[in-house]
Amino acid sequence: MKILLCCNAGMSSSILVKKIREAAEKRGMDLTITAVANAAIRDEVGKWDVCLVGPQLVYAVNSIKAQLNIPVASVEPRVYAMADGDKALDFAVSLLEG
Amino acid sequence: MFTGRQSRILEILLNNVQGMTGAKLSEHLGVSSRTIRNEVGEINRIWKEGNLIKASKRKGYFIEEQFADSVREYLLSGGRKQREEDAAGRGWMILGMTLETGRTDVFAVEEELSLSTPAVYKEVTKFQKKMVAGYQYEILQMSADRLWIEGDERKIRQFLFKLVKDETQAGTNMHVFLLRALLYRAFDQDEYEWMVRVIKEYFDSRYIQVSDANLYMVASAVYITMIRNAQNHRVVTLQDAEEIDPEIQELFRYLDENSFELDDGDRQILWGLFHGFKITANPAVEESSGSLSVLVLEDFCSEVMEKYHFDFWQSKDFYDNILIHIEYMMRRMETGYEVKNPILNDIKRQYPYAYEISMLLVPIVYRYKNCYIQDDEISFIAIFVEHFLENVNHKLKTVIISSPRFSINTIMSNWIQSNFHNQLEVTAMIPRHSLEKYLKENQVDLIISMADSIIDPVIATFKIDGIPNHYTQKAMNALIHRIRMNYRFREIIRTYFKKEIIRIYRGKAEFDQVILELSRALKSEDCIHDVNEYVNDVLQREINYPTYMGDWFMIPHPLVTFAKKTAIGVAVLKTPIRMKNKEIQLIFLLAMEKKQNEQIGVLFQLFRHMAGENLSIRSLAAVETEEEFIDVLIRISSSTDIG
Repeated sequence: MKILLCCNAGMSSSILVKKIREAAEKRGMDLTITAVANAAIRDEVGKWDVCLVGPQLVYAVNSIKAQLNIPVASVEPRVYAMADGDKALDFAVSLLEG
Repeated sequence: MFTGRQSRILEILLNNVQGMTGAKLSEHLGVSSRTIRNEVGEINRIWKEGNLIKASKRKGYFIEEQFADSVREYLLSGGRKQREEDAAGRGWMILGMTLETGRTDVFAVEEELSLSTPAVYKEVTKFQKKMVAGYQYEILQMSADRLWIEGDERKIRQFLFKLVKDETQAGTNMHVFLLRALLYRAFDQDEYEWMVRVIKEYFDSRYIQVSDANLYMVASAVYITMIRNAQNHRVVTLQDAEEIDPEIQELFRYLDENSFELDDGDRQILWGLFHGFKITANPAVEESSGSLSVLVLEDFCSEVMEKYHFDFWQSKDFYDNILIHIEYMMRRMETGYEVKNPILNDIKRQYPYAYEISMLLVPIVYRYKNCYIQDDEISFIAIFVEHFLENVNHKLKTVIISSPRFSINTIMSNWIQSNFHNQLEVTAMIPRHSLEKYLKENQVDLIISMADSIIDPVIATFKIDGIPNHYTQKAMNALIHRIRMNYRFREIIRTYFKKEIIRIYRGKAEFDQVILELSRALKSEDCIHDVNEYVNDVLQREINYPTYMGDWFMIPHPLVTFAKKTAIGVAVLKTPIRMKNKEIQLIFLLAMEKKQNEQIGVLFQLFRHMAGENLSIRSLAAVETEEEFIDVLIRISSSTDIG
């Protein structure tokens, strides 16, 4: 599974990326995940299965979806604030299974 | 007033003042001389001021001299057009007759339009070709002597709306004529005019400014819907149709109240048309939703800056207007109601440069929408761009340091005029020793010199070594690009950094205290909603997601709390705050609105760049006043090569 994480400055997500990666390792999942800033999103077309965005970018979900053409949703603020990798991973999986 | 053939006869006679025989005329027009006789009789009957065409044995037919001027005037003004209308109108009328019940036959058409059977076949075939070429839809079918309509009611109505859209948007006042033809016996002029009044009343009462074209288009479409329903041509309601926007819902509610009964299916089809045109009070672009048109326009602006070095961001009015246009244009691409431009070729010919720039939009829109913008729609964008180039664009005020050799001066100014007249405005050509005085009295963006490469610490200088060539041109373009980018940074910085929200801490300070004080400053500038909520979010966030950039610089910002107005609070720390082995000297506290903002993206690039080299942080940390801080930041931005 390939997850793209997107936030405003591209700075907060690196910690969540690490947590999600750890969660996936524990489950023995094959996972590719990376974080980018909103401004760089157009370079990511066609590379990912699902995209999570930070709560700061909740307004941009539709436009990101229009660009990437994959499921896109904003991570629940509490999950994001606590950097809960497990829950974020669950969320990404549920998006993909839609 | 005259038919096509009659106008043609008049035209020929006008051009042959010596007259022309009936036999010759019939040869010219490919009709019998009997027909010519009849037509001449008809012309004289229509012309009420006496016999317009006279006949003599010697000359044949000729136009009475006293009428020649008024006939010429008639032919020049509307005659030709009238002829085209007649020709196009016949097809519409045949379609209208067929639409009423869905079928008719050639004989009925013959009767109604007083045409011969071959003429009916010819008209139908011509009309079919035109519809396929213009609308890719073979709505009118003919087999032997039968005529019928192809397609379901949804498709038919969408097609009728397209006809109405093209006719109203062309602004020729022909749409009533079209409606009369399409609705055939059901059309009632008074009823239609009443419909227009009722709908106008709706827009007026809500202070919605609509163009004539849009008013008539809406009225015509509703009128067509009413009549189709009355004729029992019902449309099936789609279950998974798109949601109708609230403002158009309101229009439908209003129509309901005025006893125009529209069911859901009717509304869906009408909405498809209305959605792509400005008939609501609010600009359609919802700022908070991160609309696609903003992305498209931002890409467009960036590429225009990159390739042509024009700054579309420099005027908010221009930006907002073209944004609204792009929003509706993209909606029309979705709904299929794209607008035709009758002067497309004129625009291409007269504004080739603006048209070329506008073409940059094609691949951008394709990237998001997977379809291409039509030429007609591009030409509307070109009109915006042309307006920008002529009236909005701030040309860089340029001073040329004159050369002792006069001929060189001429070469220089010619070169600038022919290559950069859209970008540069030469305001003076003066000797070096007068420059200082000139700069004191005038605003200058660029200095061109043959001798020196740097003349002023702030104003960019372009040095030309010899006769300008291809490379000189490239270098000049690069410099223009840089100047424009610097101005853009300067504007962005001045927008978000205000001296009221900059604090210089000379003594020891605590992080939490600094955040609290900056938040209060943001609050008193009305940038954030609530200080406590904001501060808590910022501090909470630092625990899990610290916002260091490099070792001296931090950009704290909340995770979920949005600002009222985007702004950046600044703390300059003369005594660094020690946090996790870092010596923080500079804090930017970000307050961000809940909307797409490409300028913030640009600032993030700047911040990242600053964090990478300690010189800029140090020079910012060294400032003594708030004003100085802003100046230094602008200087840093102009010396960095980003964006």
